[in-house]
Amino acid sequence: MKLEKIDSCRWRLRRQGKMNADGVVYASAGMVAPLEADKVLEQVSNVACLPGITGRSMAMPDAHWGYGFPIGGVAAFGAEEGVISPGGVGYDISCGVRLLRSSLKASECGDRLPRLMDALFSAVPSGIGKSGGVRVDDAGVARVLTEGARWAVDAGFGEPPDLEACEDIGAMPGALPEKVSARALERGGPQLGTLGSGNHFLEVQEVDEVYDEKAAFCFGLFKGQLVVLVHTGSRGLGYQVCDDYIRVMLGASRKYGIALPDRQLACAPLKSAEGKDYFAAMACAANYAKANRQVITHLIRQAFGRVFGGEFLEVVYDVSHNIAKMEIHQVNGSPALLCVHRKGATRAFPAGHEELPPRYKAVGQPVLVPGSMGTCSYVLSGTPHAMSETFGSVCHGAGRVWSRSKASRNVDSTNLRHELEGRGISVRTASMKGLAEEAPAAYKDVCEVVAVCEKAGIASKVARMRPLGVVKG
Amino acid sequence: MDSPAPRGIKLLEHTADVGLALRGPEVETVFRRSLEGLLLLLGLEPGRGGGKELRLQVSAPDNAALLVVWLNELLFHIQARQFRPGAITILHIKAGSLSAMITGSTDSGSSPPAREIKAATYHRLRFAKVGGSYRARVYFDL
Repeated sequence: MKLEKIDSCRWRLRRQGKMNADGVVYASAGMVAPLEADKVLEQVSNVACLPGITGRSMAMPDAHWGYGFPIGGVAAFGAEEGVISPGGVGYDISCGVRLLRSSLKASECGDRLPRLMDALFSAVPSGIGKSGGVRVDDAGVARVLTEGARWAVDAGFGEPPDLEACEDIGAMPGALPEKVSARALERGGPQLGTLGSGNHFLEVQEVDEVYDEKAAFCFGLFKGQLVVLVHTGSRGLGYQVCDDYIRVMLGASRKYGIALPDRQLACAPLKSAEGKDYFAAMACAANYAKANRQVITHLIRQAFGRVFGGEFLEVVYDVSHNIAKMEIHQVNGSPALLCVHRKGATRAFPAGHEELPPRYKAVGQPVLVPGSMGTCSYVLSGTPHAMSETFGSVCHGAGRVWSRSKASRNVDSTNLRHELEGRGISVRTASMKGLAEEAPAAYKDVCEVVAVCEKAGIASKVARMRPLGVVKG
Repeated sequence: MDSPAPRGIKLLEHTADVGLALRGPEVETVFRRSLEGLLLLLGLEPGRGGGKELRLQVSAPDNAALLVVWLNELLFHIQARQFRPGAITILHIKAGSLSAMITGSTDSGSSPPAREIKAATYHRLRFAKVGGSYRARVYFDL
């Protein structure tokens, strides 16, 4: 498959074969060859074959080979004629990022940083299959699945103003707990309030560059500030919901005569019973993820309190990057209701959008883009151009270039830890093996990824953060 | 994944994830080896003793989908219920249907897996007879 250059950051995959739309890849010239070698184009093409696709099948600059959809993939489907696909959301439903800000300057931490890292590592359960200390009864579980972060705040894991700074004000609508299997509840129930493993992390960072003073001020960010970035999702509950419904969708695809270029793209019409059931279960998993990040916020605050006394962390924003959402977008000059699948992509709504909290309406939605471990992360803001071109979507991180096996072969975790600590980055991890797999060398350069997004006009840089300490699951 | 893969099992690289290529003279062998491969990916030794018996019964439209359903069933018992599979007896297998008895242990104090696997996926899934042997390919989301 060959890409045609549109401009310095956009490449077209022209409609061919069974594709129902063109594909567009956002990338610099240097990023294209690895994408072509990484099966991303085949996956962009496969997504374009699904019924009811509106606009183009897109890959953000952090895209890499996924399963079904590429990671970094965005595709929208019409509410009337389109489909919903669990493979377009992924197993870690509503995996996302939350940024917390302190009023402290990093330079004020001094020798308290190691103590803070120990306190965070001890307070927030992390690692494989780890259980949390939060136990909820059946009625509580139903509330977690329908009320998300709002349940957590109500249960004492946060403050009401936290919710205003969350996508969907902390709870995705449309959740029906009866659509979630007992097995999903068993798998995820004990994990509420846990970080997990793999690429999930908690990072203490310093805002080291501000690009847009007005937006940074609006987000409560300033140069030198100490902030905390959390990356986690719906844990075992989301994994099981996805697996349960891919099986349902395989049957539905046959039932509705949908030809699948890859079985992982199994889907059903949005209007079908199967499509509605998946949406309702996915929303439950999304709410579990939002509750999870809210409980973790509470645990982080407790750890901060132990080290910094009365210091209180405020939520800058909480946003999912594995989700399918019903949104209204302009299509051929008219508003249309679409199901926008973001699989490793972040919603990025512009200033003035009605779904933004009042405090961010003037500058646009904060878009949180974590870098790889040991590299910088970014806060961006949504742009009007993203609304017209990517259904208000942008990248979600750096994007892998090495498999985990390759990273394990090429990176000595002990050396990596020494190297990070030599650069002033404290590391706390439950798995040295996991540390090697998440080495910075295994990822693209997040600065280049963000630069492509900004050049394409689908996001604007607001601030950059450098890591001071990381807790890896 | 540091140990060498046993005969008939090959680890496949994937940018985000990992896969297994499995091979065997019979369909049953491929399914047996899929359990070995799964334990290899999880960094687990086969469970010894314990006397716990787990009977699994799975079905799917074809052998490829059956492999995914089987692996995800195993993952659930290993990751959510701390079951450590040992010896496996395949009681019945035909196209799209499998029942097996696995002995193992459920010691909650046993070492956790070295990695978490979210699921076996249907991405680029394959199960076919090639020449005189059966070959399968399955990718996992990590």
